[in-house]
Amino acid sequence: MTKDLLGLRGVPREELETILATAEQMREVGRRRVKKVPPLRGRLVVTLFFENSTRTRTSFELAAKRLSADTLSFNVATSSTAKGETLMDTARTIYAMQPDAVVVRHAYAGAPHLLARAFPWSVLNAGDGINEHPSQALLDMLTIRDRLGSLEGRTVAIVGDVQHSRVARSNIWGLTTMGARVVVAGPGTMCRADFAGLPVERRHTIDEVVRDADVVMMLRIQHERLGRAVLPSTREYAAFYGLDLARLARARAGVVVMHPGPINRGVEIGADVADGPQSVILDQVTNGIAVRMALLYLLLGKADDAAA
Amino acid sequence: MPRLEHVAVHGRDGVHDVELGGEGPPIDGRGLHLVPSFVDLACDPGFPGFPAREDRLTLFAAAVAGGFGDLVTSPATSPVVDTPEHLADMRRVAQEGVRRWPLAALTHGLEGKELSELGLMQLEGIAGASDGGRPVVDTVVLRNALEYAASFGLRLFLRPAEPFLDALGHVHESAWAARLGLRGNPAAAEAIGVARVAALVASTRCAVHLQPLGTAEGVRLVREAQAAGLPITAAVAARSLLLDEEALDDGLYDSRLRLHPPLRSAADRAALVAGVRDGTLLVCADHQPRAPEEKELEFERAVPGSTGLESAFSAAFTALGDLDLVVRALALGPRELLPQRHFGWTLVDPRPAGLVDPSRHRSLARNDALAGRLLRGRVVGCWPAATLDR
Repeated sequence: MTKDLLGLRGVPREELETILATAEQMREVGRRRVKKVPPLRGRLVVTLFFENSTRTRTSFELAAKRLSADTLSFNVATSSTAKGETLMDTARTIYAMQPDAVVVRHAYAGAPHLLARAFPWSVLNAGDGINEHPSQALLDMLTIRDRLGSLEGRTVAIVGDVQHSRVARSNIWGLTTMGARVVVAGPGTMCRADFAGLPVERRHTIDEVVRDADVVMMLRIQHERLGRAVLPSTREYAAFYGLDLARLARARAGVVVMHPGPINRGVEIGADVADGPQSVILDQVTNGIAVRMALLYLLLGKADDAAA
Repeated sequence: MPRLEHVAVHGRDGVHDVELGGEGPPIDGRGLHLVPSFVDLACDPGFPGFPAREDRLTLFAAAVAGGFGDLVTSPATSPVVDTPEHLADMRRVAQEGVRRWPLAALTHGLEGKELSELGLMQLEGIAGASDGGRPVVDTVVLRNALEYAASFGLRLFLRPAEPFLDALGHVHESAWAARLGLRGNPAAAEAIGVARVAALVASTRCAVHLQPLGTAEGVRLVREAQAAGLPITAAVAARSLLLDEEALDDGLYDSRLRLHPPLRSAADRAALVAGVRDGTLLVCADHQPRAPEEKELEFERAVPGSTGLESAFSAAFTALGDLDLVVRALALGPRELLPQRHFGWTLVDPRPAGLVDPSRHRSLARNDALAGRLLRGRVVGCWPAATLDR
């Protein structure tokens, strides 16, 4: 692997295969009574979050700890930038603490790329604006593989605010590289015609995409990212784009239902669907730790093996 | 200026030995062209108010280095140029013979609400009045401004954009933006902006110059307005003849390419080049100096803008490949928009190709969007105050 993981766009298939295979090995660590292995002992992993997040940050921190790395958590949403410090000044300060890797979440696309260019540390993108969230897509891909055996030739439907979803973008790049077909659906304000630039097919109704999907990935309505007049109401959204049991009944048998969480029950996904047998939402969480262990190991640990 | 020997002089046949006064050894002018000095119709001067962007020495040095003898400067400085008193100070600061033609703020503080004293400011020698890149939101105010300016014979320099659509996004809205995960700014913002102004010019007959143009539809609407006899001119930034949104697709989120309005599509770029060729569009440098701390930021947070004075000639010449056309678009045409027609001379060499290297620029700012591009043609010298003996 290269120095950083900034996104899945342009990452070759062999590399994705390596990450997923490594994640499968890492998953075994989580099943032990002592959930810790030594490869990153003495290494420092910093999580630098400019947006509030609990799940992704704790997942990365747990992954680092299971590999015996030290972790340090900066929650900048509530500290320095509120005082006017620029991204680069924050980065200089953190770099002076000599971390080996920095896990970044930021409200603007390209922020991790800026940090990756600035210093010789490894940067892992944990979400940049509406651009990418690669570790989420990798854990989704691992979860789909667990259920369906492979990604090749599978049809994945992504439903909701595709336009403003970094989870959707990373999944689109990663899944199509792995040979899957991606179909997206959402209201026109959340799934605009310019999405034709990505390797997806675009539909307007949920029924059109659920019908022949192997996987249905529901996106969260992100109230904080919506512009004005994007959606009349969550009630209307639920009526036309929510996944309930009636809609799911028209899908193929064995369809897999996913959601990156946190879910808005009764809006994009019905409670009975979220908790039902098709749902793999909690598997996604468990796989998240394994995928992030794999990423940290491949970016930091492998270099040591080579040097040793 | 020294004596120039065997130089081709714009507008004359053959080569000539010319003398413009001044000191220095003679220059062998073989292969070089002496052309009327250029005019930047869209110069954000950076001063007063932004000492880390530009000062009077660096701005005028950059102008001379780029072959520009006249700068039409934006009122969007700090303070905003919205009273005659500001202009009285400004007229004393031109350096190296470069003439500065201030634009007055169309409205107080560029807020788009109350008209500023356009009549009094015209007496101080302005090239016109401008919205400073912030399109007037209220169309009634815009119409009143056009009617009022027309009664003084004053030209308005406006950025054609529908203000609400214009506020969307950070790059051109397209498949490329979707791929990069950046929020898009729709081309319709410009089309509506041009159409809005043209419709008001039709009734007010106020002279209007629109800049910078960026879209094929914008060019088409300007061409249509000109064909209908409306007093509308327009200019495109030289860099927009070479760069389009595809320059962004290296995945580097290079904030030097953060421009507003954004770089548009390849098809738009082709329409802009065609617009210059058929005389619809003039070319401007669209000089927008920015401090390092304004650019060393997340792409979407970086202050938009690119310097232009020192790469505009090479960019235009590379894109158009025709020196006469470049002179028409960058010198002769723009000069017709100035209150005074005097021009100096610029010496260019169309032969060499070189990389744009902002670290060698005379501008205080280093944010040239063309950095690292290989361009043809070079400015050898510029004498803004010189007159040729005939």
